[in-house]
Amino acid sequence: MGEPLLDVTDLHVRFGEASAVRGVDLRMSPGEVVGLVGESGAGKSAFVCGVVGLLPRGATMTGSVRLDRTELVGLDDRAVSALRGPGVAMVFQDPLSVLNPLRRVGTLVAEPLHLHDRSLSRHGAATRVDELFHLVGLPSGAQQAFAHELSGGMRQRVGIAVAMACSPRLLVADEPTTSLDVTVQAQVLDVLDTARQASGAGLLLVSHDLGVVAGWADRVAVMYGGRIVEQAQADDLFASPQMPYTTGLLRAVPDPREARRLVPVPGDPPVAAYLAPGCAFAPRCPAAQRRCTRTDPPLAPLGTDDTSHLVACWRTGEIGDDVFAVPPPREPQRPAPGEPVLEIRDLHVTHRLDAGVWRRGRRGQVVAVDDVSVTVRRGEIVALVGESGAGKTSTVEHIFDGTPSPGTVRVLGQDLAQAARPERRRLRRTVQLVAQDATDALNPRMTVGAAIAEPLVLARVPRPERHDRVAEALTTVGLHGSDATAYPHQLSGGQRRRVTVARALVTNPELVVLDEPVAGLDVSVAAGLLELLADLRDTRGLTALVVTHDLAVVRHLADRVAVMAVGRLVEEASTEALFTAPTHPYTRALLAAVPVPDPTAPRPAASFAPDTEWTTPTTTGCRLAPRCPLFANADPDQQTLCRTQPPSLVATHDPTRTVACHWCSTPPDDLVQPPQDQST
Amino acid sequence: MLRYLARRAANALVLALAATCLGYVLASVALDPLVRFRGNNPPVPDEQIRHALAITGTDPNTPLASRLWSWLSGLAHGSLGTSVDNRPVTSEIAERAGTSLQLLVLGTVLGVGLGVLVGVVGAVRQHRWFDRVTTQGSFVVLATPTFVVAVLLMVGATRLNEAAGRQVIRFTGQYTPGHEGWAAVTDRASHLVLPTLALVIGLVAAFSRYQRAAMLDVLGTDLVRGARAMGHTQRSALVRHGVRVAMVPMSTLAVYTAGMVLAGATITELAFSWHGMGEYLLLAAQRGDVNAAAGTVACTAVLVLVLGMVADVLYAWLDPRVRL
Repeated sequence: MGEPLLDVTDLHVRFGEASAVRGVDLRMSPGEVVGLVGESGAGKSAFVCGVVGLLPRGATMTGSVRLDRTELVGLDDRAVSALRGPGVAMVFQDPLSVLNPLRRVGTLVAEPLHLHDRSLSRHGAATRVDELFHLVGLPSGAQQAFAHELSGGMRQRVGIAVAMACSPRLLVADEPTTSLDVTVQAQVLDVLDTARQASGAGLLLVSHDLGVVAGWADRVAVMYGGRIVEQAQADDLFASPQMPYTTGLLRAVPDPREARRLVPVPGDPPVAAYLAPGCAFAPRCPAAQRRCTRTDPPLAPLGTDDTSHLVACWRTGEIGDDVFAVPPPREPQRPAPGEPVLEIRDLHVTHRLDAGVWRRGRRGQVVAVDDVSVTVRRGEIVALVGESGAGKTSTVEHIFDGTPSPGTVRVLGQDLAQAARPERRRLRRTVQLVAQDATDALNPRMTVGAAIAEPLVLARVPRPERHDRVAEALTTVGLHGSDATAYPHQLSGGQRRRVTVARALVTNPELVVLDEPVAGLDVSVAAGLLELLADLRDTRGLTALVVTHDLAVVRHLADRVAVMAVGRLVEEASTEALFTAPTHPYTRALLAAVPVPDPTAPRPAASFAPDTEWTTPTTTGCRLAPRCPLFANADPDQQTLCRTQPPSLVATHDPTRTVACHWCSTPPDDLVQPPQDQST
Repeated sequence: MLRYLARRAANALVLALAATCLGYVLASVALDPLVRFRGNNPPVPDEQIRHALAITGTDPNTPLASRLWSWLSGLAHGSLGTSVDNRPVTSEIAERAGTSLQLLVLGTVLGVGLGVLVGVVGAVRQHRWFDRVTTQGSFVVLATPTFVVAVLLMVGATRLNEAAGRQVIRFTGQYTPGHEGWAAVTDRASHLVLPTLALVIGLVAAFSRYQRAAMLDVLGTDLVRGARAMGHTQRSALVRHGVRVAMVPMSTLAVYTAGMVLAGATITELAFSWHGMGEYLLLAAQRGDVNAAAGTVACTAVLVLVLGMVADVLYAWLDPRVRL
């Protein structure tokens, strides 16, 4: 390694008594991409804020951060500010809160240019802004827009343009795609990489997502408890992790390519303020020994000849592959799915815009769900997958609120709209919801036991029986009966999520609706919950509708998958069939964009066109046409069909699969001919 | 935008009419137009009372509905009736609104401006000495009745005048009769000092609190961090990005506050013997002057509705996220 671009030595960041970063060393070469992974509380954010000099007031930083030989620690605000932009620039997680809502985004991109070059002419700035917009793949017309008028992906492109404006030598991206959909994520990361290469900048990519890091980083550093615990070339780290935490993390991540079993890391990530002496991971480490709890192991090279792989573990070389060993695959003896529990037929849901008292719907309405049919049979888990705005939530909400809409919802064969009121209430009770945000879903003033008992109270279960049922439900979800007296805030995020699952299961419902079951949970905690749900599926015959954007979750849990896009179902198939041979171009794009925690796998690709044009969905034809690669390559006649007729779900040669596309539902043996095909 | 304004205006018209009618009915029911004829010795002749009541249209023997109707038809011709001292209410209100306007312009501009400044500095230096002093100070001011503030100011002014040996600050009425030209201007200015100050102190106390809260909200977002990441120093990030965003919601408050001063900073006017709108309403109630009271209510109603529209348009102009 020549002269390092960034050289951090023994960096400490403290917030009062709490140490968020405890002695981090990190070197980056010019043009290198270093991935920084870790769970919440690992100190990633405090570390990067320290590097960029953006720590909040009240934080103290000691150690050394050298950027191109300039020491940043101890510099005054003015001097560091002069470096921010041309020296180091940052891409934030949430561009909407970073971009000033009162300024046009073009002005915002020009701002750093003027800040660092007072003599820059208006024309010169305009030319550079044009260049930058081109670089990040935005039409130059978007310069006139305000941040709130752009989609999430476009906003983050603006964020990248702002960061790249002064051609920084080091780019720091803090969870740059965490709030984005997968297809957009792949596009934005590509843009980030292209922009970086254009100026030869180094990139410090911070992410909790091992897939993202595996796809884009040359070298990976794993943070835990405020320290870097392992650091190696990406290939090396993913292939042969040494530190037990890294091993655990990799075994806990669901892989969309295969439904292998997950190994949850027991316990919860450490809290910075309450760190015991010794290795921060020792309390959760299955291989921990006495010395691990006494002194913190240094970050040392793995071998004498291999200085690129650094590990902080006392037991390096002693422990083999059997820490967090993967259990044998499940061999469930599951009965074939029974009769339908939930049948949604031809559902249409529209949301009216402009909801005032007098003027509801004056500004038009949005078709959220258009002709959607989903069936869940007893004993099967069906996943409803789609990106934000696909209509998943609108579909599910409809089961519970039941405002009159075209289409029918049947529970246990009975139409909810037709059923008499007490009957309808009884039917609804057989369907239980596990909401996405457990913190919001639990009343903070109710004990866990009371919360779980509530559905039983509504079902008029006698009090003595309730107590036993609550204890049983808690055990089922892997909590202790004694947790019933705790309040939600006394539990960790993963435990709270388990409580909501227990509350849904306590009445032995026919169907459980899981809304984004592991969203927002740390990898090691999410693995535990996914395994729990898989256990319930195999042992209790759990019937569930899982609503999620996370395809790895789907692969792990679901028997059947229904893919939604812009309000319509585009493909439905068994999980195995869908993942091995996706048919619809949207499904293919979705699968291709999912990051895989393996650097040797092909990098996630964005095959669907980016949504950088503000296209109103065509209501007459296929709504995906403007972004569809098939449409783009089709001849004019075929395009006319796409534009005028919405494709409906049709059968394919695979009896479990239906696809809604004019051009790809044709199976190889020409079982179904698209009508227009003969004319071409 | 224009369609929105037209719809808003139509709504406002209906509301204003309703408020005006209710105001008149309330004034007629609550006020006794005969109050100033009672207790006179010798008693005022019935003939004269009836004549006076006929001029103001407030004869209690006429049904309330028909009194309201005749007042409304007067309103349609732009007249708010006659007050008990035989002056048209319309011209009286116009004159007094002018007086209130003098107070308003300086008072609100200074009060809101200083309040915003104090709030911003307080938020940026949260929990430091400046923030603590201004926070305690505003609570003291907000908890002190306006007339106490006014009296304290007058005491201070008297001391100042004594120390200076001449009348630097005058605080009774709006002007001293007999001055002309430049002397009249300085005289009015010296009369304006204390009432404006009384108003400003209260406004600064209130607005510094609002602005401090709004600013802290903005500081909690990544906006300032983002600006610093571009290369702004902490100070310039705050000024260029933070303050502007935090000031947008203040626009609505400022507009309404200005309007309320125009409608009558009653206590301040009374304390400094200014003849503004607030004093007029009070006088009307004392003298049983139904037309004056109803006229004041009508003006206030129109003012509030117009200001609501102004505030909304201003907000939409300042914040592109708002669509009218």
